[in-house]
Amino acid sequence: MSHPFQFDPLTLSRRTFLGGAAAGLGQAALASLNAPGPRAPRAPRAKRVIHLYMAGGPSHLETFDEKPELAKLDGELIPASFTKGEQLAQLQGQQLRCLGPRFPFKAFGQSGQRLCELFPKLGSVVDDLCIVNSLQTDQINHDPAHTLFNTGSTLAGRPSMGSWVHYGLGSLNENLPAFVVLTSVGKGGQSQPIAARQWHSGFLPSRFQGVELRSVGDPVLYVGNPDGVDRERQRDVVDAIGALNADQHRHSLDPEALTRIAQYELAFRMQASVPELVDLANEPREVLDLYGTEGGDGSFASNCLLARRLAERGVRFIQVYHRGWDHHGAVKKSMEITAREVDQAAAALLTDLKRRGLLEDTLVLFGGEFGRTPMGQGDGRDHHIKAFSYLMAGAGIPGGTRYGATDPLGYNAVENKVHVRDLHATILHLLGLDHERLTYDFRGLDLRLTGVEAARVLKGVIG
Amino acid sequence: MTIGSGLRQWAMRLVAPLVLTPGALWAQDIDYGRDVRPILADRCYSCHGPDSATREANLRLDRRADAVAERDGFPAIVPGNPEASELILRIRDDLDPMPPGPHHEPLAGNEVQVLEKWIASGAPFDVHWAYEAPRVPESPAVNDEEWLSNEIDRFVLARLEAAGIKPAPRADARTLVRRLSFDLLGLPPTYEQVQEFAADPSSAAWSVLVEQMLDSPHHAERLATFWFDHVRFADTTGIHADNTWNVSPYRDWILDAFARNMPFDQFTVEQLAGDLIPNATRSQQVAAAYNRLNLITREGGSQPKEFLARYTADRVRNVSEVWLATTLGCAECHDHKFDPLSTREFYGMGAFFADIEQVGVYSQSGRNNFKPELEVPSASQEEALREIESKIDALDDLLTKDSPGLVADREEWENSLRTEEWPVPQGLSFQADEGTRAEMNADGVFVASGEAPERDTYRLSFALPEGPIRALRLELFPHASLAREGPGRAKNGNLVLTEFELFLDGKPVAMAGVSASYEQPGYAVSRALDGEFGGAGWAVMMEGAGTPAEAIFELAQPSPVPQTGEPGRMEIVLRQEYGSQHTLGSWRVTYTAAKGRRALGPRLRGLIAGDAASRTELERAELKALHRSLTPLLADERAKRADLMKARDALRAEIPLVLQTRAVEPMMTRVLPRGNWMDESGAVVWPFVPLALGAIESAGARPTRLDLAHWLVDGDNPLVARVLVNRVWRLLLGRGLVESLDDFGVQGAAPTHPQLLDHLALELVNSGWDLRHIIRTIVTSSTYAQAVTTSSTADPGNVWFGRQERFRLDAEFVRDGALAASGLLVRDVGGPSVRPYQPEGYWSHLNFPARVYVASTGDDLYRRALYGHWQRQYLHPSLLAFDAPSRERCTCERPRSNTPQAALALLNDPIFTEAARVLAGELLRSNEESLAAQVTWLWRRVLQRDPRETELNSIAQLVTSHRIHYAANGDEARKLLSVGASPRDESLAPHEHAAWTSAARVVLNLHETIVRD
Repeated sequence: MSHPFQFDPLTLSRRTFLGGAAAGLGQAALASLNAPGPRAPRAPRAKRVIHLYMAGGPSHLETFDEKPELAKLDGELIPASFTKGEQLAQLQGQQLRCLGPRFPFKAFGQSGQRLCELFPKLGSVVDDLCIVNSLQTDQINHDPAHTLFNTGSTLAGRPSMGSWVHYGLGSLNENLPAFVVLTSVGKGGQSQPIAARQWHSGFLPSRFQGVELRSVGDPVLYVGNPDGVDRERQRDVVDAIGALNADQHRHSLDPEALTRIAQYELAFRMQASVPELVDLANEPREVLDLYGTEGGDGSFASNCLLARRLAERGVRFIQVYHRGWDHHGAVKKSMEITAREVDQAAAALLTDLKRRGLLEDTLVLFGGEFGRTPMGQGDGRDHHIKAFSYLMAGAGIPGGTRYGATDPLGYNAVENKVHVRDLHATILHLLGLDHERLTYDFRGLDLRLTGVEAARVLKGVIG
Repeated sequence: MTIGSGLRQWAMRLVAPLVLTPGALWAQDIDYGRDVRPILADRCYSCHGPDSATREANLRLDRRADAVAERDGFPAIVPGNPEASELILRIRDDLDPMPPGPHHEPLAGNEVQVLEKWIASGAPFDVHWAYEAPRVPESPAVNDEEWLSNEIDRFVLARLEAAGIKPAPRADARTLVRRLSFDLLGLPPTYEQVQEFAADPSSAAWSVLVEQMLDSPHHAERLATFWFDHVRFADTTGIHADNTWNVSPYRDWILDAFARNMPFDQFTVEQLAGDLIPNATRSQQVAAAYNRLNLITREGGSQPKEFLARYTADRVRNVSEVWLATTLGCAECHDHKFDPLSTREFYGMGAFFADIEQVGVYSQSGRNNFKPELEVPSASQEEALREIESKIDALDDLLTKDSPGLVADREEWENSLRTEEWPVPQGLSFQADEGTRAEMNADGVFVASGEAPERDTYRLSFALPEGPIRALRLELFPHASLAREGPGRAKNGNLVLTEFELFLDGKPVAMAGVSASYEQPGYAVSRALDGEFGGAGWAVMMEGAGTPAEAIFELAQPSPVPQTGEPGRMEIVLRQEYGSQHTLGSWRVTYTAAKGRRALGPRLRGLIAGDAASRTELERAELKALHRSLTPLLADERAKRADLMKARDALRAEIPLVLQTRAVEPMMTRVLPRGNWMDESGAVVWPFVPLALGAIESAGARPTRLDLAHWLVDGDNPLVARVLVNRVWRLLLGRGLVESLDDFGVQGAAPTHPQLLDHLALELVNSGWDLRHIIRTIVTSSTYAQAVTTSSTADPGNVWFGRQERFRLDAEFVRDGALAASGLLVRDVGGPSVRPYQPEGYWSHLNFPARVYVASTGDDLYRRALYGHWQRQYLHPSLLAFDAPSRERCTCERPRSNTPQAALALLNDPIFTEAARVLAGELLRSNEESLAAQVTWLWRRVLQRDPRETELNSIAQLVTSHRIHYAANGDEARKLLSVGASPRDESLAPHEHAAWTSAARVVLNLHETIVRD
């Protein structure tokens, strides 16, 4: 497999590897690793992305899409015109009755945008948010819907968007992976599993794979040295491995040997940078209180604070999963629980990024893999793909705005429909990448994140 | 990365715009497989298809030769002429249209149009390559006959020559031996093996080496690893709590089958249907555990029906992926979009597995709770078990043989029973803590009435009688006022006595034991004396309610006989804490002064009281057995027997279990519309295989898993042999002849060498499904022996196999290789799963129950990775870092990533550090004199070659510097040398040992060490 930006190993002199100081070892390989991709970025508005990924599928009807008409039909059969021939998940074959929104909405901020009352803190930053109400997806179950959302396809083996972005733009740092994933588990609803494929690099070279930052135990598995090995001794070992791999590469010309060098370098740097990253000792009390966390507990709030620290350290793509939104039953109680788990910290992250000047070149997304039915599933809601909502902020996106709309029952997106691939195109655009030109030649085909169907940049959102 | 996804994408792009609406049809859009065949299959095949039993008018439309046959001048299809085709005329016949009513709806207008366009274009019945039987290919001519080692080289070379590519030169001896060893054993060779072959690199010597390795038990381990990815073999259930289950005997079976080179047809039949083979051996039943490897749940609140549907679907997906490389799983909810596979066929395949004894939601506790499970004793366990059982048999003989003494004793016992007295205590009073009201009648029988509380505690007290009390009897009676006639107050007539207590003047009275005339399974009466007020107790639910029962509670000492003054007061406390009104409804308490009483129940009591002469044979035997279980004359024998039974139970608790496949009456299989398990409107289906792949003739009987298995390997199946040889080719050459190992459908890749694929497939079948023969053929070819050269511009992707491929070892072999190099590897084959070191807290997200990982000890820490506990949801992180799959589903092809996680694992997982320090210890004990000789020793040991000068220098520098550091930091050295459980060699100087441990870590981490080329 050839990469357009793969450097020619023969141009590296032996001295490059063996003659330099320890810190220089592998830098050349790394420089290549982190070199920008094939397309020169065009005036990017964002340097990085933070995706607060509300896994499980939050109800748009109890978050950001107010539907008073649905309340009036509470308990009534939903008109057949809505559901005839539509795909349903667990509600197949059942009587479909409307379930009115469980909570009232309120106006927030100067813009007066209305959010569900469960999100007062997000309400307090609503003037920095664009509320997109017209998302649609193709996949009605978690795993395939996540796969589509992350990779633009439901076929396993496609790169996730973090990998595409890393591939397209390179890394902004040399000590941490460019693509980091954090997860937390909520107490409302089922915490559906998340497969590691969601951050896999697919057919892109494996170095573009996302790295999970654990909140329990070693922050990254095996990030600590063996007993009796201090950092200098580990440095010596990694240096020797790199030097010998480079030597071997000159004999074998195996490009993977160079990747191996780069990965050992990155691993070694992570051994220092990861403990520093997760050490919140120097975060002022005021910041901890802002997020509502003491840190180190694996909560969404702790992960939001870590996301800011990752953004500061130049991590390109940060995905913060919160596994708690699969509210098939008791949507009222579950929403109260899960909203409480995320509202303050998500708002805190925006506030914190903004006051540090990071929000202007950070794109923040908040939303799940799909929405939930206006019809009740008992006192809960089933998976829904015809309409769901996202929050977008930062990267110069005008705040206090709303884009797209659903029908009066919140069943179908009817105005300015946004397919997942449109969101992908927009994310890439804000990063300075043209989704039609960010391609990878895989077995004779120029494949891309947005796939073969037309995708559009959401000009109405980004202004 | 998924091979072929690009092609799939490409195929979808071509297909997506086609919408089958009238007026939007072009002849060139008609594709037989996609457009025509589904109509014929759905509307015509039931009477004119492959099933001879239901065929009408001797017409079949699934084969072109039949469809275009003359038929007395009225062929069904006249290619190129729809108007003359009887098929179209009959469909368009207004008076009597085909398909015939009233059961079939007429074809839709656009469907008829499709058929017409298709016939107009010549009615091609083109069949997808993979669905046609392999054909014996012509042997292609090549220019360079010299290059050929065997027939497969001819196919490869012909293509290379056609493309103008010269094959790569033969690899050097070391590379070849390493390649072969990693490919066949998953272990590195020794330096000596390499030297030996380098001295005589003849093809004869190569063959000897190949045979040695094929005969090694490690070859079976290597193939087992390959197979386990396919059949998703793992130690845990996969869903929700991801509990551990019993599967290791299946692993042993696979190892044994590969070691014996079991023919692949037998290998298939025994796994899919070993239990259905007449007089199935235990080994065959173990093989059939394959059918139980699907993911299952124990989560409370799950719907059994939903999960039964899931289990079926899981099995369908697996069998079609493993044996057929067919994405039948896509047809679970809708007919396959590309391949000729319908939803009906998905469920038809599912119906083969409908006979498997299973439950939808498994129970939450206990050792043997994924029932049915099969005991698989080792030879020694079997022997020990036989010995114990023969001793038990001998005792049973003694216990049943009659003797004059025993006969007399029995008569006396019967007499004593006839005359024994069970009076109701005088002045019995009743109270209930929760307010149950009860009246006692003249016979001393209580009947509760009024509101029944959830739980209650009854207290019955009375003054001590004049004679001693040796036992108390609690009788339970049916009563018309109770739900289902009782004897309890629960809605089902049941009760649970959770505890029985006895007090004398407020002091607890010790009890000797208790017996009951009947105990509901799981609710033994002994639970009423276990000291726990709540939990389980004695319950009596039988088939049908309203059955009487009794329990006799024996006192440890007879009650004192009152002397003078106020007699003592005895209180019986009956605790009933189970809940949901499981309290006593009708009961009586009596006592006796007789010794050794046992609860008999009214029937046995009647039998003893009645006329001895009128007893049946069975009744006589019953009384005799009862007497023998009680008489003091046989107390010794009974005690010995009880000990033996205990020993037998202890032994059986150690015998490995395996999930068992046991056939029961098949559950009904319905087509689930859109995959919805709640929708019962779908047709009921019998087992059948996808029509495009053939049919099973079963002469009217319901086809079974055994039929399915035989059909897969009867030699006519177009897929099975090709699928297998293709995957084996990938193991040995890095990529399949069909790149999409898991998809031989129209979306999958086409074979690069179709003739070679067919040649190998036929070779497999014709050799008697001799898998080892195929492996041997490939590894003795010139194709296999090529060097890995850098990519040529002529064939950058190496599509034509003009060179070997270089790739990283599978996760397991990375670990095995380090252990082998260090000498730590324990080469035992088979046995239960073991637990290597694992980072603390890695399982903290598991629950029900919460789990603390405890690593194995001793040798079990150093077994090959395939024996490691395979937790589907939390696979060992070092394996995961090197792309081992979770085994939740069939994995035909692992990705080969190169990540910082892998680097961290290899650098810092204690097992690799331990391997390095043990390797360093070996090196120091080897007494090499110079530093150069030491490095050479290390290189030969791990890489089977001598170090280059740069390597020597680099290691020398490292060792020198670390020696100084560890000499000054002895504690650090000792810490490093204490990583892992194996003892450190105290005779070695710690600083020296630690310094060489650093060197060993370097070499174990080298790219070259973990790559096969």
